[in-house]
Amino acid sequence: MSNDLAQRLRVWRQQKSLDEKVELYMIMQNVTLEEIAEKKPKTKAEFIDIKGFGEKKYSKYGLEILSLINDEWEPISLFTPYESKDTSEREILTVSDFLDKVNATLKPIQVFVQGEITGFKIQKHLYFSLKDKRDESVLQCFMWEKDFEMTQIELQDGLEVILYGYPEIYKLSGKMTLRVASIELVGEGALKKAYDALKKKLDAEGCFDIARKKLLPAYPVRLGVITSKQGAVINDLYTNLGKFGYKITLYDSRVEGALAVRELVKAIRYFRSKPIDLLIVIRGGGSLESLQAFNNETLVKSILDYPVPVICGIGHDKDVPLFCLAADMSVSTPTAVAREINRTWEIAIQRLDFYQTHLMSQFTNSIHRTREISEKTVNWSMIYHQKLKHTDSSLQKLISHFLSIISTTIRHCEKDLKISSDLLWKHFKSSLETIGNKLTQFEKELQNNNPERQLKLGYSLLFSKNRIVKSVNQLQPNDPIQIQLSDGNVHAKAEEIIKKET
Amino acid sequence: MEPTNLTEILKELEKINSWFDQQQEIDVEQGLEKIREGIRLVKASRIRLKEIENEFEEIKKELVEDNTPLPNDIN
Repeated sequence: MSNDLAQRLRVWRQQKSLDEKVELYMIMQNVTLEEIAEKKPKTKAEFIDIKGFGEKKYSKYGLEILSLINDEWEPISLFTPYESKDTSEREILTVSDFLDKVNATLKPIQVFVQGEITGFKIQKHLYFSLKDKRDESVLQCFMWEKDFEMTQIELQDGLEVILYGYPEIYKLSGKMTLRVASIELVGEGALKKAYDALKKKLDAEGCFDIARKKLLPAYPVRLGVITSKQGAVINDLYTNLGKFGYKITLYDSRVEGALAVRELVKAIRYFRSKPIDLLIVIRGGGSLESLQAFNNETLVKSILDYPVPVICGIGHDKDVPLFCLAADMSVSTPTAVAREINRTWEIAIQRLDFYQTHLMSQFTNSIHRTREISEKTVNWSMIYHQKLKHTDSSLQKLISHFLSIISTTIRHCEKDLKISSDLLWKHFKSSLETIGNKLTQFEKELQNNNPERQLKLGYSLLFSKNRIVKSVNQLQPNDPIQIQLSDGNVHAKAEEIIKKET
Repeated sequence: MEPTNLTEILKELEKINSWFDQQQEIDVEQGLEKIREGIRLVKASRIRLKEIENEFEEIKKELVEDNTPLPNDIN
């Protein structure tokens, strides 16, 4: 293998990747590159024979690579020799203009650089150097605060990182700095530490609370899908989703690498206002390092209080990506996601079959039951009617008995009343009679006591000195006396007094 | 005052009777006066007694007329 050629191919690939704005492996994989360097193909057939280098790649890059193999390719266009320029045609720039021009040229050189952080400081924005461990080469770096917020890595001196950015000359010092767009941690240990710290923090903030989780909608139709178009997982999802009339909106986003976080956050924000029932985020399996984007605080928080449930299907090892922990549902593969989404639909279809089969029998049963109930009711009502009749006759008996008692009582009362009123008459009458008798008695006595009556019978009253004479002792011989008769008085003289012998 | 109530009249008559019983010496004039009074009271009493009897018969008649017989059976 020609190391020289391999190096040239690498430089060429770097340039292409920047020109076409795709990852290096998209231009050519390392194995392919090494095989070309070794076999040095000359014809189309020889090219196509190389693994990972198809017809398409040949028509696109074949001639350029051929010139590389023949060592005819000039990676940098050479400037025109100074002598050929006419003085009048010379363009003279100010320092500032020149640096602007240089910076404009440098900007497309967007690279990933790995190294160790030194001299880290934050003065609103981030300033640090990236040191090459092998030969102490140093690269000045600068990062905007807003870009750093997206990264959410706790930076410190000695940390091994991969920076993504482009070179720029700082005009006030003339020094070149790398304008950093994103930072990735290198090495499982550091990643694990960062993962654990963030997990603890987010957990304390309640990002993974069960109470936050939304249930998947019963019959989702409009599905928002975020994944990389180029990955295999999207096909897995499509293949396994049933034919339930899904309307799928795919948002193509990187799911790995420095730019993944930014694109994923953008994708999630995009769907926030779109009419979807469910948001799906899927990615093939990977190590902690390759899934680093899904352990980003900004990304995790972007799905908190999301308008629709978020289901994620991301293959992972031991450590569940924090994004999956915060999602409303998390399964490990796109196929599993499809199964979850299909589930309710499949159950519904099963239910439909069931209903169809059992509807008639249910109906028959219910008719049968109704008939039974009505028969029972008729029987009951007949028995009840009998009972009522019986009750009625005994009631009538009771009533007539009661009435007869009442009338007897009344008759008794009547009789008593008659007796007592008769008694009353009798008593009163007798008392009247008593009064009448008394009056007769009085009359008789009065008659007896009437002195006139005595006088009429021949008795007379004898008075002396105006007093009634009842004894001879009251008189002396020759006393004047008066005699009262019934029809007048006689004046006389007591000639002799003869006392009765006793 | 002249008593009109039958009971009062009877009491008066009783008094007259006892007057006669108590008398040791009867003043004919006075006795005669008492008798006359007694006779008058007896006559008035008879009239009042007759009135009461009549009234009583009247009431009795009314009561008998009112006393319509009760039905033997309510049914």
